[in-house]
Amino acid sequence: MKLTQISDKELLQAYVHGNEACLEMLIKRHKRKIFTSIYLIVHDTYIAEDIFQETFIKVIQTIRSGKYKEEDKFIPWVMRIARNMSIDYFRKTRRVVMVTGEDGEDIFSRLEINETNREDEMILNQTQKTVRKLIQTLPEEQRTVLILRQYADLSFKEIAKITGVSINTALGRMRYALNNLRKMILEKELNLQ
Amino acid sequence: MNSTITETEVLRYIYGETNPEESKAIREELKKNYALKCYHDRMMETKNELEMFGMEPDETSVNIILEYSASHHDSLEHH
Repeated sequence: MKLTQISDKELLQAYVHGNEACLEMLIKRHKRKIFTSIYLIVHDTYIAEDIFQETFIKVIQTIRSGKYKEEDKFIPWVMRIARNMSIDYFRKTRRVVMVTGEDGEDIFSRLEINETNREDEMILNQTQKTVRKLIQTLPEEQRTVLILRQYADLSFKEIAKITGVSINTALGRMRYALNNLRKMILEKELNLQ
Repeated sequence: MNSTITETEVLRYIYGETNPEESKAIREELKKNYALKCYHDRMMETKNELEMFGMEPDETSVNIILEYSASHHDSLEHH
């Protein structure tokens, strides 16, 4: 069977048993969503690259120490590590005022503070810039849910837990986020296709 | 009888968070509820447009991770 046809869980099990190619496949499969969600938090490609590497190094270390127990939820677990790494980055650099949620880890009120640098503007193509700007115009609560669901691939249940609200509230915020984005796209007559 | 399927359920369906029974009920409802079908289509379109914003790490980052993993291969076999 080709690696592309194997589930994440099976790839992980094979990696644990020494098949390095399976790790490569897992990264290839999910690198876009993991990297994008990191970038949307830190807004700096170089820092995002570092956090992406550190995330997977921690993943490898945890797996090899035998501490990983959530084999059927691999990607949400990796996304949580990436999110915590991003929080650590903010704490170390002290670039922002700490605003904490119920679990003390709400970093999303800081998304606007960390402006994209000029080099990043050159790297992003026009469509990416447009979409990113539209996302940034959303109210913070809506933007948080959107990033976590759309790019970090967390479930609404997980988002509710992280942000300290009910699932219905998380779903409601997502509905408003998508509706608002839809309106903005139509108002600006954007053609993203 | 009025349907209990709302836009919230459709949103969960779009993001793959409904169980097979719920998904089936939603698909049936979408066939006969024009307003809900329009909502579904609009949200799907927006979701797809958002997916266009995606960035990938540099290949160097991926190689660093793979090299780290390969160079620590022995420790994996001890567990």
